[in-house]
This record gives sequence, C-alpha cells and structure tokens, in this order.
Amino acid sequence: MTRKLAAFALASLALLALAGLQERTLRALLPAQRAIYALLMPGFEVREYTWVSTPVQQSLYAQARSLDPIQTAQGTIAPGLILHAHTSARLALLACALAAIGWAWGVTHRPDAALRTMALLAWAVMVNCMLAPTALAGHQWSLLVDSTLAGRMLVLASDLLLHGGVAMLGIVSAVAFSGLVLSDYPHRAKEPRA
Amino acid sequence: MSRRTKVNDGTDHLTARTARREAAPWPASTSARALTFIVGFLVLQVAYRALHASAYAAPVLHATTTMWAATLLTWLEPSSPTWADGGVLRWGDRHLLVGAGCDGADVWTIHASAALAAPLPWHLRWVLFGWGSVLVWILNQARVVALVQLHRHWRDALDAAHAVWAPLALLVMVAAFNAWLLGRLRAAPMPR
Repeated sequence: MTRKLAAFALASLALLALAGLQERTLRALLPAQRAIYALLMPGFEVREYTWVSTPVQQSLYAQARSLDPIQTAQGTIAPGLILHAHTSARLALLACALAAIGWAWGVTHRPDAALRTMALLAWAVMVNCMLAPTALAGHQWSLLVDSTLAGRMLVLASDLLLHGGVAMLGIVSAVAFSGLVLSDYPHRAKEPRA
Repeated sequence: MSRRTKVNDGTDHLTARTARREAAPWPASTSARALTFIVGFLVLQVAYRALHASAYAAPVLHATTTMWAATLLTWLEPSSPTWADGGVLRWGDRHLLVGAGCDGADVWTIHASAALAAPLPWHLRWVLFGWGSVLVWILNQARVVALVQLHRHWRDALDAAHAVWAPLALLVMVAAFNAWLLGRLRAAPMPR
C-alpha cells in the first residue's frame, strides 16, 4: 500500500512538472526538431519551422520547397513546389505523461530507479524531438503519396499520430517503464469461489 | 498400508505449463496478447480512417457525439445555446470542430483492442468491451463539454487541456476501469 501511495505521489509530481512546461521550454527543442524535419524531407529546402501562437491553439508550422523534380502518378512536378503543414506543438506531451505514470510505478516497485529515470528522460527528449517533425513531414508527403515508399510510410505514421498513435505509444512506454508484465495478471487474480 | 511415492522425473513444470495453457483463453501468452493488442489497434485505426474519409463521418459524428454534447451544453448554459452541425459544435459566432480524437475514437480503438487481447473467454470479453465502450462514450461527452466550456471561459487553458490533460484523464480512467472489471470478471465463477 505504501508503495502504491508513493507511486501515486511520484506520478502526480511528474505530471505537475509536465504541466509547468511552458512555451519557452518547448521552444528550446525547435532547432533539433527542424534538423530532424529536414532529414525527413529529402529533396526539399526547409524554409520555415516556427511556433505559431493563437488564443486557442499553440501549433508548429513548417514550410518546405522542393529542389528536384518529383515524379507522381499524374506527372512530373517541377522544382519550386511549396508545401505547408501545421501540427499541435504539444503533440508529444501526452505520450510523456503516460510514460511518467508508468515510470512512477516502476521506480517504487523495482530496484533500478536510477536507470529507469535516465531512460525516461532520454525517451522524453527523443519523443519530443521526433514526433512533431514526423507528423509535419507526413502531412506534406501525403500530397505526394504516389512518390516513394518512404513517403507512404511517413504518411501512415503521421496519420496514426493524429488518431490515437500518440496515446498508444504512451501506453506501450508506460507498460515498459512500469515493469508490469501482462502475463502476471491471471496469476494475481482471485481463484474462483465454489 | 501402501505409501505412494511421487517421482519427480523433471516434467512437472511442463505438465503444469501445458495445463495452464489449456485453461487460459486465447491469446494465451504475453507476446500473443501484445501482438493482438497492437494488430487490433492498427486494424481499427484503418477502419476508422476509412470511415473518417467517407460521407458517413459527419452524420455518425452528429448522432454519436455532437448532438448529445450540444444538448448538455445548452442545458448548462441556456443563455448561450449550442447546436450541432455535423461534426461541429456552434454557439454564438464561435465553433469547435469535433473530430480526429475528440470523437473518442482514439481511446475507443485502444479499449476495443485491449478487450480483444484480454485473457478472458469470449462472452466475458464482450462484457468488458460493452461496459468499457459505454464508459468511453460518457467520458468523451464530458471531455467535449469541458473543452467547449474552456473555449468559452478560459481560452488560455484550452490548448493544454485539448492536447494533453483531457486525453490523459480519459485514458487513465478507462485503463483503471478495465483493470478493475478484468479482475472482477476473472474472479467470477465460470459456468460449467
């Protein structure tokens, strides 16, 4: 019971820390995100990768311009094509919050707390740097879906991120960080009563 | 008086494992359950994407989500009535587009694939799926109503609530409910 309470307190603290993440902190990751976005958009020049703030939404805006001709089923698109995309600036925080809950359980019930904490921090940085550029690149490649297999995969990944993929990623990471194994469950359940 | 001596020939653990496997419903192993969970989620996502791109999306969204949320919102704030227009909630000169997550499909697909992978007989799996789906629907109505209320009265908090806290609350509550109901269903006596 004490461990469960400790896990609950630790998870609450981690979530409070996440809630305290302000725009300035998230903006610090923009250069890394832009570099990853450029890697995901070969043959394009990244013209803009900026934070857009409106009264109701914080989002990321990316603009890229094609440098080479692009072959599609409809024909060839000349260089100079400009693509635009938006996504939520807080896209990755849901996955981080779920992972933090799993981590809180893991460090209070398993011996390797330091290792789990380091892994969580590394994972959080990676997810925050990777998810938004993937979603943005997928949006843009969806316009050119006939072009390459890599493009199609990016479109699929981007769509999944928008429709529950972030939550799924968070759940899987939460289970991994918690150290819980689903196969334990049948043996922990009560025996049937006569 | 004869005394029976049990000889351990080293196969006891194999017999026990086989018996457990026979007693356990499909999918029996952890890896099979994890695979079922992920494949089920991907299949439901593909089906959801097909529906989302079709002409049925707006009427379905209207009937399952926005119509009920609009009624609840109008009851909460009769001075500023809300009405549903397909997948959009409108009040005054403002609106909120409900879709791609806010329709509850993200949590529902995760719940449905978890029910599919649950270590239960099929009839109990349907019980878990049914009650969980009802809970997802109720909680999602609460999420939509809360988001509209934030849009009306506390717009600064809308983005974080929309992107992080509302889906997190929904997922945690549905996961806790599933764990609780799964335990109850597993503990219930099986019909012979």
